[in-house]
Formats: sequence, structure tokens, C-alpha cells
Amino acid sequence: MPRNADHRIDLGEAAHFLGITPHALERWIRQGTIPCRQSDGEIVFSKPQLKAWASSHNINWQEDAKPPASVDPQAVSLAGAMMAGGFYHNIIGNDKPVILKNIVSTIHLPEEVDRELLLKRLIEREQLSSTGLGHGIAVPHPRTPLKSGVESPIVSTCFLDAPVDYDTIDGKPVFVLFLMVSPNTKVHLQLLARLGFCLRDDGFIDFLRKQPDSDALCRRVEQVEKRMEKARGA
Amino acid sequence: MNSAKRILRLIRRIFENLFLFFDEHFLLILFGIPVGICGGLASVALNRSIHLASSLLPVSHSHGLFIFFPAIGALLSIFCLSAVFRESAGHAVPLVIHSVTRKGGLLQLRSSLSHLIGCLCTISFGGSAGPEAPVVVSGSSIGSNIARLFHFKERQRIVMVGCGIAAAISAIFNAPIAGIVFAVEVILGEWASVNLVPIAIASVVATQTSRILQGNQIPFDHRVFIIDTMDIIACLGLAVLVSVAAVLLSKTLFYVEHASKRLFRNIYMRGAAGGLCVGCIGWFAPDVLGEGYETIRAIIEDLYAPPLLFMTLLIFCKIAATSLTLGTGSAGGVFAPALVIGCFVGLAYSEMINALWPANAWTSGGCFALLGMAGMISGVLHAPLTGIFLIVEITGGYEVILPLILVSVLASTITRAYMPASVYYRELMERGQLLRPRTDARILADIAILDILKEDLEPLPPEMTLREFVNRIKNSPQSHFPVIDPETEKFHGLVLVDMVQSYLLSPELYDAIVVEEIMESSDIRISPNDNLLRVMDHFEQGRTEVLPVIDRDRFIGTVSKADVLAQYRKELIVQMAH
Repeated sequence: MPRNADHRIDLGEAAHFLGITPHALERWIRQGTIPCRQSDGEIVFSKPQLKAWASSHNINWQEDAKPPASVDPQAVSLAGAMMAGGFYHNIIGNDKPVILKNIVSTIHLPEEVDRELLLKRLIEREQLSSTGLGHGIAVPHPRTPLKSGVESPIVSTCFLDAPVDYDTIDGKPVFVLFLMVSPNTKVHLQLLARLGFCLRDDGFIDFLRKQPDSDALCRRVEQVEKRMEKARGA
Repeated sequence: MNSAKRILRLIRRIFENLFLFFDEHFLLILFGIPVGICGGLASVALNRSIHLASSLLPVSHSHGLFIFFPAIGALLSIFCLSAVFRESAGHAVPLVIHSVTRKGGLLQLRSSLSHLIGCLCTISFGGSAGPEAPVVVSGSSIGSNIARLFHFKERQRIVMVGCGIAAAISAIFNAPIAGIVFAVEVILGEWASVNLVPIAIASVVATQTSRILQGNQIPFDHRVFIIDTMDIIACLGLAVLVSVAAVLLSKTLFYVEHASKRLFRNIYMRGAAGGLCVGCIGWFAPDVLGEGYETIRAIIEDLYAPPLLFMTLLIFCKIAATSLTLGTGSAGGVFAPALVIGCFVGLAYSEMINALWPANAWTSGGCFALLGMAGMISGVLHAPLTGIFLIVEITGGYEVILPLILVSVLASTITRAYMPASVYYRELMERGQLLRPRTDARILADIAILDILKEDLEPLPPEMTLREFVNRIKNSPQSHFPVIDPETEKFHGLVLVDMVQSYLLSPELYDAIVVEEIMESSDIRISPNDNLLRVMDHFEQGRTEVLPVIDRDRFIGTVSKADVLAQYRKELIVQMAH
């Protein structure tokens, strides 16, 4: 019998893994439908044994499952993601594929990220519909989060050498692209919402047109984000 | 001293975790043996006591106080049950079935004795009852308490109760197969190998225990019956007739039970009145008194064949005497009286067809009596297999098997059509407590509200505006919110996000609406002790997907249809797994 302390789990943990309430688990123990052991009056489970039992009974083992909607909006910061992604100027190219190719080959990415795959996904997304938001801004991103390589979100700010037609809604040529690579869809949507809030801010687009340096841009974004959080809290 | 303590602790730990040290099936089989021995001993003890008492207390016509005897027996029986052992008088088998379905097989230790003694009083003084039900209670209580002693879990304890029941029936009738079949068909309702093997072992052990102590006697001597096609066809009529008798017995029993409760509030008065009536019936027809096995023996051996009219009268008298004995609170079972009535019906039917078609060479009256017994047991208990095996075993004859099967299954089917619940089940069914294993009702009854309660929900004050609510749901994973007055903590209703979508998409309303106006404020409230069947009824009627749970005027959480179904599936899996 395993005596390893690491393998022992208590009632609360076992209930969590099996996706039931402790109350229901206590009843199963009383009825004798689940394998458990008493140690000095306390009920303990052997984790491997319980896991095997759950799998043999077709009950989902929820060890890796995170509680739903665990994304803390305060934890996602657009300014932080922009800092992580870096700022690039004078990206050249006349059409979408060339620009995207240049961006992907220029920017810093974690080593694990497959640049070719990223480019392929970005182009696929653009073929679906343009990621241009209007006012000369575009947010290229893959349709689904990349399977590996991205732990925290990255937003790379890329100013173009010359504005390019990007099939945007308002038809205006794009002068800046925010390449977004997120670990999951929730974070991606949070970032997009924050960027949207920035763009609604008067003068933000004009500020961007001046191609500000990275510090100034980050400060400005931080200010807008603070205002947004304040508005939400109210 | 220290080492002694250590050894004691080790032993205690082994007992607490018995099922981890040994294989579950092996342990249950092992424990089936002592349960079988004890169950066998209990039935031998009752059997011997009844014989002893009947030799000491000859209930006979010659005695002047004869008609008062059953009343004295009833009084003693009720006194013994309610005053000495403090148990509820009346039917014992529904008590065991209830314990198996709702209490995980928990039975009091005193039940192993109380019904035995109570039944001894009833039968010795001439009450029309059988010793089987009390022995069943006794055996099941022994099984339950041995399981409790060794810290068995509910499911295993139920198997031990089944072992005790099989042991009791096997030993009292010297019929091992009937014991197994009765325990599984009538009491447990679940044919699973985890039940069947230990129960079979207990049954074998109990039968052998009884054979060692009393010899291997077949209760009713085997005689060779010659059965031809005409006899088999004639059985169809017998099946109809026993079904009528079975329905009559069951209905009279319930009628007497309800009527006597209305007439006499005092249980002793009730029992005495019932006993007195039985005494009066016995004055005219002494054959209806007691367990009646002697009468059966005489009929099967073709030694006793009163005329048809008297036979018919006997049937009604036995039905009345049994209902008056058992329906007024005396301890005893319906098993033996059912056999006697079946026997009478069979004999009456035989006399009837002999009179109508004298040219045909019908099989003997004893054979029809046998078939009548099987039909009656099948009809009264709704248990055709028990009827078939019991009669084959207690008569030792296999050649009657064809008509036996026919009469049993037909009687059971016809009776069921007129009476959906058998005598054992009716009381439980009326209370909604007949929950057979692996049924929807059982699974729903097993899941408690607290098992699926969603707690820690963020409450909203009733006067919160829609704008504030919209901001709140932006950052909340909840799909519904309780509206609770922050001062009085009174629950007002639930706001279900999917029900208020139209408002959420109309920003112009954001300041014009407060949550109190958009909440669901129906009167349906669930309490933590509610039955999930009731909750499902609300869901099924499509009124809502989420219901508030209120405990003593305080909101404690919600129950949603999705959570019920998620738990239902898991419950189904674990219950089906064994």
C-alpha cells in the first residue's frame, strides 16, 4: 500500500478532483461506493487509487481544470503586454502578407514560438476578414491562441514606413499595427477591450500618428487604463 | 502494556479498513457464513418454540375459554413489541425493505428478538399468522448488526441484511433456493453478483445448520403427481382464482388495518378486538387458526378434503382471520396464511372441475393445492420466482414444474394489474419510499440538496440600478444573482442573466430600472431537506432552470438543473458499478 504522504489527499481535495461537493462525497463514503481509508478518524484517499477509480468509472478527473472565469481583469495590462512585445518603427512593405512577414521576422518572440506557423495563422486570419479597426490602426492576431510558447500576452507595436491599404472598414490606410499573441482567448479579449477603450480616447490616435517613443506611449496607455478601471469600479 | 495498546490499535485499524486489506467480495462471502449460522439458529429456535408452545397450549375446541385465546395472544404480542422492545407493532417486512432502501440496511439489534417473541405469542395462541416474516426481521437484524460491528459501509451492510433474510427463509422452509430468490426478488430488488454470492453462501450455511439440528425434513411430503395436458390447461382457471383470492386477502388486510386504526386508538384494544374476532371465526372453523401447516400437510396427502361449499367458506374465513390478526397489530407474517389460502383455493378448484367434468381423469386435489400455494405466494408478494422455487423445494417434487411456472407467473401478473403494490410494498409506495435500486426515483432520492448546492453567490441589493448591475456582471462569472436586502437579509428573488438580456442591450434603460423590477420572484422555494423529485418537477414544468434554497428564512444558495444532471450522471455511474 502506498505510504507516500504526497499521494494522500483529504476529503475536500478529493471532492474537487471528482467535481462534486464534499457533502456528496461524504455520502459516497458512507455508502461504500468509493475507495477510501480511515487514518486516526480522518478520511484519507490515495490520489493514484482515486484517479484510477474515477477513470474506471468514467468520471472526469478535474485536477487541471481551473475554476471558471478566473481571469482577473486587473491582472491583464495592455501597457505591460506592449512593453513585453516591444516597439518597432519603419516596417516596410506594400501589402498585408509582406508587412506581416516583415513584422514576424523582426519582432522579439519567445524562442518556443514557431514564427512560420505564427505567420501562417496571421495570414489565415486576415483572409477571413481584415483586422483593421479603422482610423489607420490594425490588430493582427491568430484566430486561436498558439498551442505553445506564450505564457503571458505580447503586444508588439509596429509603425509602418508608409501607410498601406489594409481593407479596413473606413478604407483609411493603416499606419500602425498592434500584433497580439495571447495565451488564451479570454486574455486576448481583455486586451482588445482595453485597446478599444484607448482608441475611444480623444487625441490618442493623433498621438499615435506622431510615432511617440516607447516610454511616452506606455505612459499614455497606462493613464487610459487607469481611467478605464476607475470607470468600471464606479 | 504499551505493546498491548499497539496491538489493539492495529486490530481496530484493520477492522476500520477491512475492505482495503482484503478483497470486498471475499470478505462479504466470509461474513455470509456467521450470518447464515445465526439466521439458521434463529429460525430453528422459533420453529422449536412454536412446537413446544403448541404442545403446552393445546388450542382446542374443548377448552371453554377457546374464543379468547387469540385475543390473549394478540395482547401478549403487542405488549411484547411495544412495551418490552419499544418497536412499532404490525408488518415487519416493510420495515426491513425501508431500512434497505433508505437507511443503508441499518436495523436495531433488539429487532432480532422482538418479532420472534411477538410472533411466538401470536401463533401459539391461535392467531392466523406465519413465522416467516419475524424470522426475516430477525435474520436481517443479525446481518445488519454483524456488519455494523465490523464497520461495514452501507452497501456492504445491505448485502449482509440480504444474507440474513436468505438464511432465515432457507432455514425455516429447508429451502435454500427459495431463500436466495426471496431475499433478492422481494427485499433487495437487485440481481447483482456482489449480492448473489454471499447470499447464496449464507443460504447454504443456514439450511445446513437447520438440517443438523432438525434433520433434513421436507416440510410437505413428496408425492408423485401425474400431470397431463388437460391439467396444465386447467391451471389457467386456477391462476385466475388464486389471483382473486390474493387481491381479496391484500385488500381485506389493508381495509382491516385502516378500519381498526379508526375504530380503536389504543393499540391493545385494537389487538384484543381483532383477536376476539379471530377466536369467534376459529370457533366455527378451527382449521384457520395458527400457522396452518398441519392442514396443508393433510390436504397435499389427500387426507383432508371437505366439501366444496365448506372449502369456499374456509377460504373466506382464513382471509378474514389473517386480516384480523395481522391488521390489528399482532406480530407475524402473511407468508404462511397465503400458503394455506392457496392450498384451500387449489383444493376447491380441484373439486370444482371434478364436479364439472367428471369424465376427465384430473390429477389429485393435493397437486392443485400445491399449485394454488405457489400462485398465492406469487400473487400476494408479486414474486413469481419465490413462489415457484419455494413450492418445488418444500414439496421435493419437480414434475409439477410446468403448471407451477404457469400459475405463478399468471397469478403475479393478474394480481399486479389490479393491485400495483404488493402487501409488502403498498405502505412504502403510499409514502413514496419504495425506491428500488437503479431506478430514477432512487437516484434522485439519494442526491441531497446540499450535494448540489451552489453557495457563495454574490448578492445584489434590491435597489441596485441596471447600470450598476451591468458593471457587476462584466466582472462576474455568475449567471444568476440573488437579490437580498442588505439590512434584513431577506431574500427577494433571483436575477437570471439570460432572462434579462433584452434590458442589458438597451443602454437607455440603464438608469430607469432597478434589479428588483427584473428579478424572478416566484414563490417556489427549496429547503435543504427537500426531495429532489419535487425539485425536478419544478424544472420539468419548465418554469425555471435555477431555484433558490432557503434555510430557516435565510438564503443559502441555489440549485440549478445543470448541476442536478451533472450529479445525477455521476450517481448513476457509481450505483451501476456494483
